[in-house]
Amino acid sequence: MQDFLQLAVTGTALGSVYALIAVGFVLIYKSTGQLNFAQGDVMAMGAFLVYWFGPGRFELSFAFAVLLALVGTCAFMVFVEFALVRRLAAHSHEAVLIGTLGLGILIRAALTAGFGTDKLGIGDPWGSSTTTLLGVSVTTSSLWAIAVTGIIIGALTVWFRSSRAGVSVVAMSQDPVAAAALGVNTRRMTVIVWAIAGALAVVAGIFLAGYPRGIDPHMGLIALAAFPGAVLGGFDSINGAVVGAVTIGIVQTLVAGYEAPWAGVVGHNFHVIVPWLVLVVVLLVRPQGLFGTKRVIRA
Amino acid sequence: MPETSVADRPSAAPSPAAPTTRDVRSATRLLGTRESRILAVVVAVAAVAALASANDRILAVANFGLIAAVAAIGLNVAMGTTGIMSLGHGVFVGFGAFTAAVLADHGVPYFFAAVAAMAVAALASLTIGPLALRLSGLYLAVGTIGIAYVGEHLFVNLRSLTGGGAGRIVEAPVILGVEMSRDSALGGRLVTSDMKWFVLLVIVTLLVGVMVAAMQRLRWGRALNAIRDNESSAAAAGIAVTRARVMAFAISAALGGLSGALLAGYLRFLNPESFGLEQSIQYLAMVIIGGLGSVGGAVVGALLITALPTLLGELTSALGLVEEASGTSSTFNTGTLSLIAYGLVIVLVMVLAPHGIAGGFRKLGRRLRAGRAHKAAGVD
Repeated sequence: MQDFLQLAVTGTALGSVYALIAVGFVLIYKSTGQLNFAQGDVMAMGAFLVYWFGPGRFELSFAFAVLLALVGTCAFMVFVEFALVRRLAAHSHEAVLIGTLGLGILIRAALTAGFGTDKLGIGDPWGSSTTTLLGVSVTTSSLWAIAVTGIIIGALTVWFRSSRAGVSVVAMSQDPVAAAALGVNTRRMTVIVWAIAGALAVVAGIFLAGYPRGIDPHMGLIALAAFPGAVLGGFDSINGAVVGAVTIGIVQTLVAGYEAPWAGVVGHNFHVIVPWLVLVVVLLVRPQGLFGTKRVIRA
Repeated sequence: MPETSVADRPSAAPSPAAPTTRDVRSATRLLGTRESRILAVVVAVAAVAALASANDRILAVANFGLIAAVAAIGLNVAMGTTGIMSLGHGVFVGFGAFTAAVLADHGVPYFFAAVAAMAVAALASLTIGPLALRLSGLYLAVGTIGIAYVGEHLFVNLRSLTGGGAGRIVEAPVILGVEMSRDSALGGRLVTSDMKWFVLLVIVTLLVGVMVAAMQRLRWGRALNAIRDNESSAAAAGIAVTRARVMAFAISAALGGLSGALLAGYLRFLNPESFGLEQSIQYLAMVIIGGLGSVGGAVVGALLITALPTLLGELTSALGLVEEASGTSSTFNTGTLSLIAYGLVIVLVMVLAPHGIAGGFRKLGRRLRAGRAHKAAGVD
């Protein structure tokens, strides 16, 4: 039971990271119909910026390093939207997908060239400390991951309901033409959405870097598991994406905890493909996911 | 820009009910147009030059490029012709490679092993088929990532067949009595293993390319194009959409399997981790950079992506940009540089020439012709 609780908390923390990435995917997809394949690598870039401003180069305090990383990543996403995505979107959604795929490769290679492939710590204040919760000991960073993600998702929900910009984004995601006709500046909203996705990615990167993982240029590939989470939740539902991503995180961590005796049957490192098996099953059985709209999915 | 996109697909222009005699004629006259004649001459000259150089390093790059080209032509059948986007093509290449390797263990001749590899890969595609049939666009792209992960997991864990994480070696193939993995003498001249493979691979790539190009021009290929462009109207025009999509996906996988069998025979070492997502993305990049739907484009894209690390290595060492000091932990080397270039090429092609190299050439050709017509008419 102790093990189970510990795995459940760790899994929820991992799921929170997936959720932040998944919300980034879904936000962009919902409001523009585009899929940003570089989201995971933008996350890695954000984490490396925290490292670079912090212990890596400038020795700034963690909070300041995070702030600068947030600003830098948001600026990068705005630049990407202006310089790349806007042109590609004029051609087709597939062009955006492939262009961002290339961008992801570019970011990964640039990070490798600049920082090497060793695991690095980003100097977060939690380090390897643990906290005892309900009688089990869990890393402090996972509790922070859960709490911060909860706050961010809550804030986003409020923003969508009650701010003019948030309502504009919702309107745009429901019908871009009608929204534009009613005075929503869809171009500006698109830029805002990309910037938000960038900020979410930085936070995700910080918590994915939490003890004992650290950062490396390939951490963006781990975040690909946010896709199954988003699909499980229904790709066009933000709350669905959160539920789906947290579920995937918990299931994956539980499988990782209990898979060892079954290695002969399911193979080693089975937990790596668990999200993808879930994805395939969801796509076959209920492609609209748990909370998604039915129309968008089938060919 | 609907005007150019129609002009880009000459094969899609006539109605589906176009007389089949024309189809057959254009298919048999594949080398009939001037562009394709020029292309054929260029390819022949390049091939002879590569062979005459007798430089095994160049030939090795060309061989890997041609092996990838077979897979890329296959992926193009699914993606360019039918609109099934796949990020899992590497898995089919893996199925083919390991099938050929396992059969070679049991003494099956290489030719038959390659045929079986195609069959196994096609069968594997049928089990995944339901995904490809039910989904489209972005969902399909994400779903096929799942295929890439699950496939790689299978390859790594089926140790007895694939050697697990350590990989496995493959028996030396013999084709028509020729030992492909050994250098030999022919009329007093040295014929290296790479030369033999180069000849074989040029022939195989040409055969596959001509067959796929012919298929694209036949009624059936046009049916696939129609499905890609608008599935409902394709169905309304009497095309059995499901059957056509399954067939296209199976052919795509079979060509992937053939590429795998060729890789197994040529490299003689297979690493199960080299048939996952990253490899699949490379095939996708080859097709995109070459130009969706174009056979020649897929070949050019495959050669370019495969040669990129070598080209960049030559360039940087010639310019003295990167000190290739072995043993240092520096990751700023030609390996990462070529990865950067690889990402950059994908992004730039998407921005500057979204129809790929083939699309760019078509556009250039149209412009030149238009210019000439202007001059001839005395307008200029």
